[in-house]
Amino acid sequence: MKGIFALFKGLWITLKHNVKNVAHNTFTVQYPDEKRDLPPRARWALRLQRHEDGLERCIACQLCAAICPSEAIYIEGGENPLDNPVSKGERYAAVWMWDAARCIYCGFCVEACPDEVIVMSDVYELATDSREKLIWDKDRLFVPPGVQPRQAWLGYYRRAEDLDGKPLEFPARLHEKEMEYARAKEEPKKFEEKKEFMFLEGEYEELIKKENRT
Amino acid sequence: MSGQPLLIFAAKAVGILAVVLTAATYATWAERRVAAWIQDRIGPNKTGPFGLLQPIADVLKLFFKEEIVPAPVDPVLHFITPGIIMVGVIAATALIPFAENLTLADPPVGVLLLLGISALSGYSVILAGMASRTKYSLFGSLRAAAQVISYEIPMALAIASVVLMAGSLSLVDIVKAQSHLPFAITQPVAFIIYLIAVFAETNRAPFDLPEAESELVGGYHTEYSSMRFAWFFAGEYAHVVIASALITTFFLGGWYGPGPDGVWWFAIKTLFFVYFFLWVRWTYPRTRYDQLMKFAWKVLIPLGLLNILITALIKIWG
Repeated sequence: MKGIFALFKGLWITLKHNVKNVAHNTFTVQYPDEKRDLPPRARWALRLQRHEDGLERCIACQLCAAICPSEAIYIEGGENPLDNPVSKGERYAAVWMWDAARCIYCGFCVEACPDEVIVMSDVYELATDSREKLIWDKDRLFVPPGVQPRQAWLGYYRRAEDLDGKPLEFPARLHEKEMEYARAKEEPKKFEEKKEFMFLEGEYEELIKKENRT
Repeated sequence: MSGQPLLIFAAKAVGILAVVLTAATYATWAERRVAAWIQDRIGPNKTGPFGLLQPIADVLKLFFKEEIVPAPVDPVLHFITPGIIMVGVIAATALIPFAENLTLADPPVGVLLLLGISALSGYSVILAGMASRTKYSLFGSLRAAAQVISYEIPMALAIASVVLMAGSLSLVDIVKAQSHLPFAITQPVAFIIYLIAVFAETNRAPFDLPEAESELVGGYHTEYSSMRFAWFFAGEYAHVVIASALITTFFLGGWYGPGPDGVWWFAIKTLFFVYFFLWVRWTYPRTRYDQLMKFAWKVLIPLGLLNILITALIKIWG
């Protein structure tokens, strides 16, 4: 008798799912038509930034190529022509190549870059039909003049003196998370139960102490 | 032919065949959509509105696929078996009373003829596995042989009690006997036995052991490709549609319904049972083989015999 009841219960469960999904399917993202929101610091294809006046930020210092663990970056520097400058330094990148097939998307190049040239973008549709097309050259890597750099990446590594007193413009979600963390440090009691921050209780303070000692 | 002009008869035959085959084709679409919905997915929805052109795309694809015939097969049997399943299913459509004046053939022994024809598709499955001469196909056909034979008995017993109630072997008379009350209400045990047996008869889950993808690759149709595979596939879904139509005919009063009678009642009931087939498939896991046989011989057949006995006694004394 119990078994017969279970049969009907099973039918009822599948019917509920069927009716629910005919009306509205909440899980599936229909990929080429709909795209999922990426996390603000998602690490995908490299994009090279420009100054506000359109000059390239890159000065061909080769730090990113040096730190790259998979040797995905190749840069050839050139003397910056004074009458028609490409960058704001003495040198500029005559050749800038990034191999999407070699890159492991670790983000070291972004951290190494002293001039905030490299930003990891949310361009993740990198598939092509040949290996040659996976090597991006300067034309593809540099953003067009006037394009806003990706704030989450630039803001994170921006030095305080560059900000000119302006607040960091984080994308909303990230901003909330950071603010919550800041508030939690100020009012520890209120946030005691929430342990979804970057550090467990006491871990952060310990880390600071260790920093101060060395 | 019941005295109709040949042309009208031919037009009816072509029309009914077209409707049934279209329904069978779209049953594949419905299967994929319903399966997706039940599993919290979406299913094919890109080809045309709601993915309605998907079956056409599938058939075109199967047409252009390469046909691979393994070397050791029996060439004659391997060639004709996909046809047999379709012949059985299509021949059965001729007997189904869709509406009062929409029956192609109403022989006085319609029920017997129907049981004979539907047994043909069982042969197709058995022979297909034997003709392929590979282990998985042979396992599939072995299971099919045992299962189809076991489940025809409770099915026939259930129909026998319906025939007792109606007092006729003609399908039209059986429907007419249900003009006031469908046999699903007066014969609930026969209805349930028939419903269970028909799942085994059509090789549908939870009794889809002859093709059991997860154990036997593809079962009896493992060695078939291209359009010959498509015949088996279409045959299975046409069988589902025909089986739903037969449940409607035997137990739910065919074209009779609350409100105006007509072919629409037949269509609604049949489509509900097509959905029921899909619904059950995506709800229950496959039964084990010994459970399947035990259930047929130890539960369904005694129950069917008892049901016939009680029905007959009530008929005599009631």
